[in-house]
Amino acid sequence: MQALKKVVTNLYKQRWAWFFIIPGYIIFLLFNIIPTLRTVYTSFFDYNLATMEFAGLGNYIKLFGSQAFRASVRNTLLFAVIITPLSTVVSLLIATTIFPLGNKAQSVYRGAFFLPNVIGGVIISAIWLWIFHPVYGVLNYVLSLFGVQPLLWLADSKTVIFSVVLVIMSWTCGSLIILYVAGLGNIDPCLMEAAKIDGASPAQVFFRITLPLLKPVTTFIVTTQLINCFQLWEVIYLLTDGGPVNASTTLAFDIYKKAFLLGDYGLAAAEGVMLIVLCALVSLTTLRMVSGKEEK
Amino acid sequence: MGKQKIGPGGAVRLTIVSVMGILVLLPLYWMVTGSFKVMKATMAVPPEIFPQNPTLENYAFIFGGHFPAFRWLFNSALISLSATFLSLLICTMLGYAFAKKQFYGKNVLFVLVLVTMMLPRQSVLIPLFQMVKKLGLLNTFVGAIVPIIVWPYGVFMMRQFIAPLPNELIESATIDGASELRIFRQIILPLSAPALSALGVIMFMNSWNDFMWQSVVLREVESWTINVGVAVLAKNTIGGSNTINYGYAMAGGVVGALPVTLIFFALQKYFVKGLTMGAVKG
Repeated sequence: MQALKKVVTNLYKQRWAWFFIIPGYIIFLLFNIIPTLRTVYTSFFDYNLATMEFAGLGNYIKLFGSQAFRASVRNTLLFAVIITPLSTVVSLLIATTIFPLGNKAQSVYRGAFFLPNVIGGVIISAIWLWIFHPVYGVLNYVLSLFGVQPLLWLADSKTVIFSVVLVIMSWTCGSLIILYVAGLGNIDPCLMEAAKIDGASPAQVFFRITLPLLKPVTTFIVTTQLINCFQLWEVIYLLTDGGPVNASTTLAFDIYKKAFLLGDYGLAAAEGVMLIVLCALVSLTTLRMVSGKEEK
Repeated sequence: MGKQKIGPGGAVRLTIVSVMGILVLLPLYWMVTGSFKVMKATMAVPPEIFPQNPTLENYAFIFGGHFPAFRWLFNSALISLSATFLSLLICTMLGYAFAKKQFYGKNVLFVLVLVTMMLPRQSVLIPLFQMVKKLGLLNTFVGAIVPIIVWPYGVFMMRQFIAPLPNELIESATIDGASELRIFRQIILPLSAPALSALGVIMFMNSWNDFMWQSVVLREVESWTINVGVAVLAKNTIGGSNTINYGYAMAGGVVGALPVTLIFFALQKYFVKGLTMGAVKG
């Protein structure tokens, strides 16, 4: 009784905290937490427009047997493994190149690379859809001037991954460049000067001073790029629809396809759970790697 | 930051970077010129580097001929502006409570928000869609806005920003008899202005480009946003033709790209701050 009274008094004392928490948290529970729990729950059901019956691990068994799922996992990992290091290194090189320029020139370059990012994946992909067109796309025309035979780009399973990576690179590097330029601005120039006076070569300065000091930025970039790769959706939706024959489908896109085009909610939910597990594993691994290294 | 010397190696690298910059911008040139080409010109080989018979036909088609592009723009603007405003308000309220208030379950509730930062939206697409449908919010602005206003990253950033603000400010205002609402409105909000402007432009950009959710929840032509419209124009044959008319899609693209481009150039420094505040101190 005494304890209950104390709880009630405390709750009353906390009333203003709850006033600020409750509106946002209700929305958060309704639109973030409950849907997540429901995804897990429905993944154990044979669930479509007609039925909803308990199926145990049926969806997961079906999923692991499905060719589309294996292709999605493979492509999702492939995109992550290609795009994350490539975009990080390219952005770092661009950032270190434009950093020594004056403020004006620097912001012109930054703006140019970031503009596609602002305009958004849908419009950028729509333009590339036309550029990649096998018959009247400008890319095949330009290559034909150098004697290259026309390529199918998005319709050929051998070139489709490359084509999608190209679009994503042109679309997303801008924000990474901005991050690296800001990171470089935070490094005390005296450190580099001192190293140069001590006779360090530019390569030594870069690898021994610049790169280690940029590590927090790099960690941030690698983590967000990995997560972004796991969520690849609009580029796939616009450019390839996952094709040809699942050659470019991703987990995020396959979930959408199973749910909204095929109407198999249970299977899509099981795939959603797999995506959550993948994201959690990657986040925890990077987190552990980062904090582990800092302890040393 | 003063200028540093650019050596010969630097000049070569700068040239390469400039070429890359031009390559990144060339598709945008192709979009703008393409929007003034008639269908036959969009299919010409060799392509017209500059439209030889420029036409406004594509714009007329999407602005009233067949599609309500003006409506799409309005929808995009309304959705992203309201989402940004509501999101900033909610994120500041939550961030303030997590930074300065004591209450039961504070840490658990905060960690729960952090965990969802890593959650891919696609994994909850179906239950989210069903819930919005059940609430009768399909094809409505509310349906497009509400699921994105609790922005976990924004909550986290606001908590980080408000936490170091001096407690004495709040205490002395309390002693002077200021109400909690007044403290929030006249102390917390004004002091958070730098963080709010930086997060605001990013939230605006995110909600403007929140294509996946918008395409799922907005299903009637009148309720589409400009991005949904462009996607339809770029992926479908329209008006009895059996090939895609990229002229329409490019015109839609220009219409969608123009406002965000202008906003970006006007507010570039806030974009930079918003992008870097999570990763770079200072």
